[in-house]
Amino acid sequence: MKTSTSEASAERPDLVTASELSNAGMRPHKGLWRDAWERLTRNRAAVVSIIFLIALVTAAIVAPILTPYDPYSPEFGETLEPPSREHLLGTDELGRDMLTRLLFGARVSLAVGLVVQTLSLVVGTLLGLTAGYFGGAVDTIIMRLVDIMYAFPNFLFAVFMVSLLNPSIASIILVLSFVGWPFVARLTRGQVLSVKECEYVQAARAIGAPHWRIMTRHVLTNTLSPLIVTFTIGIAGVIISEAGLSFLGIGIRPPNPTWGSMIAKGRQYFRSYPYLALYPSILLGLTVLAFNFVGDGLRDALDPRLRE
Amino acid sequence: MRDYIVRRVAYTVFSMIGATMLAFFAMQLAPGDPIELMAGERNIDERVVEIWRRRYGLDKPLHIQYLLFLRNALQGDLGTSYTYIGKPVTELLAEAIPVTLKWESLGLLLSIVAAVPLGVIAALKQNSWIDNLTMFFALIGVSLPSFALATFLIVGISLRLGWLPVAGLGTPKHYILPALTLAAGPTALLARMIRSSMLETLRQDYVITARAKGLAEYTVIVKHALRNALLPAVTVIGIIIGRIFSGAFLIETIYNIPGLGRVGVTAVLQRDYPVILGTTLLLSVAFLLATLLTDIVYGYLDPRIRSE
Repeated sequence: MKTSTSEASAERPDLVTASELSNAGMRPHKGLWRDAWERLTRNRAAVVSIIFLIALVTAAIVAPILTPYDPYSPEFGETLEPPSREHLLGTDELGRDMLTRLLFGARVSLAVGLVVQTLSLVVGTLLGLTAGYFGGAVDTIIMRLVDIMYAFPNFLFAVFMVSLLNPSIASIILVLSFVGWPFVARLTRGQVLSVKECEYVQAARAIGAPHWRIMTRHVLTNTLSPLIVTFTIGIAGVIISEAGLSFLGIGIRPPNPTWGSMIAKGRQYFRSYPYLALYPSILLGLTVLAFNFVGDGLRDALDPRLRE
Repeated sequence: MRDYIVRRVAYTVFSMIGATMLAFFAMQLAPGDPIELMAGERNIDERVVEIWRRRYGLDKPLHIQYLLFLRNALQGDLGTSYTYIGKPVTELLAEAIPVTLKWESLGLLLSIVAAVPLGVIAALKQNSWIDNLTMFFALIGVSLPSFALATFLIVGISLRLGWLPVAGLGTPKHYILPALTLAAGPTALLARMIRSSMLETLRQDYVITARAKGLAEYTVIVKHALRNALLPAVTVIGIIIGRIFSGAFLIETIYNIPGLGRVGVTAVLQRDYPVILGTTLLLSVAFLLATLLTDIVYGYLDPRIRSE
């Protein structure tokens, strides 16, 4: 049942409503997440990006139902057709429907992006948290390991590692996660070092709370905001890396459609059929841009210092 | 200052040793025996194989092999290529380095020359259409992978308009597209960075004081604000130089430039492990030296850093 403000204050004079608070010039307390969500939805670029990404993810998931075409097997009677009612974006050099391949390529890009970022985040957070919380020798060992990983530019190291393994989705995920965790670890450690000195952590320690409880309940929860932003923007980076590896021909193997390999293949037909390379380039660019917009939006939404 | 430099150099040496170790031991993951790979299709006597094994120190334990490798590497011997049989890896790299340096330094110069005025103007006209437009393009520049951008440039500028050649490095005109492709990301990153650091500087007391003294606006902006705002840009330029080397992999493949990147990619595709290892190490050493130089320059420019 809905009650109006006046009724509510008549029954419970001790309660203060949100509108009364804001009339009095005070901000109502809505909790971090509600607050952040409201700020995020006020960011137009972020909202458009979220809608785009939801549409892309949905289309990628239901791709097999959405399209009647097979993304793998060639149709030699229909090669290099221009866009038409049957093939909205035309067909490629083997007669396969471009739109279908783009959607199946989205599955690879998005899945690799999500899985790699999740793995990097879990490993990086665990190691960064351990290093920052315990300090001493544990910290030294973990951080020197991070330093060594930092000696390689990320993409270079990914190329190096993939060249040593057999190219497959699993090895790409493994390599990109291996490359990704040090950044997360360094970030988490920095956050932990500053949170560790806070009074509420000291208090928890003083009442004898076990380490794991302090780490998960008090320290980790207060380092979440930058991690969420890193996670989102990092997906964009991973998608670019995966596409780059596929573009070089050392990523996921054909006939599996990936945006990177589609661009590489399309290059051979630049002169007469530029759209073969253009479509995957555009979709890749838009997807990366969308993740960056959402990440930027989240950063503004979650950073309390930016609040009015 | 001396202590600071000594610390940075020690850190760099540590990272280099770590990087060679990581790369060397990761090489052990490579499938196949190097001697068998060297022999290739040829049918070679067991006794010859034994001699080869001893000659390359492959009969020794792994840690001894690593030390031998390190000693040889320090003497400029990185082994010989499997593909170009008998050709020393250092020779192969020495031929490619000048090619890459030439077009990449042009790209780097281009991005610095473009980013500084863009960032400054965006900051001075904060929230104007110039600012919004610059930052919009900056986000696109950050988001668009080099190989996708190259697709747009080649299709638009080379094929549609016919203004510039598609690939290769024959004439000065050939340098424009690769340099533009390389510059886009760094320009965007740098312009965003300079904008935000300029905005922060403009709010400082000493800028207000300078204005209050009645100094000309130009003097306030260039002498007081910009000089301080550019400080953090030094670090970003260092990061950019480090990243630029691995960018060569993709851009040189697209534009068919016979530089380090293409040597690396060709080696990866042909499983030419000594060349892969050599390229990786050379690029990570260059990356570490760029970082070291950045740290030293930064320490020189900002006395606060040295004493930390």
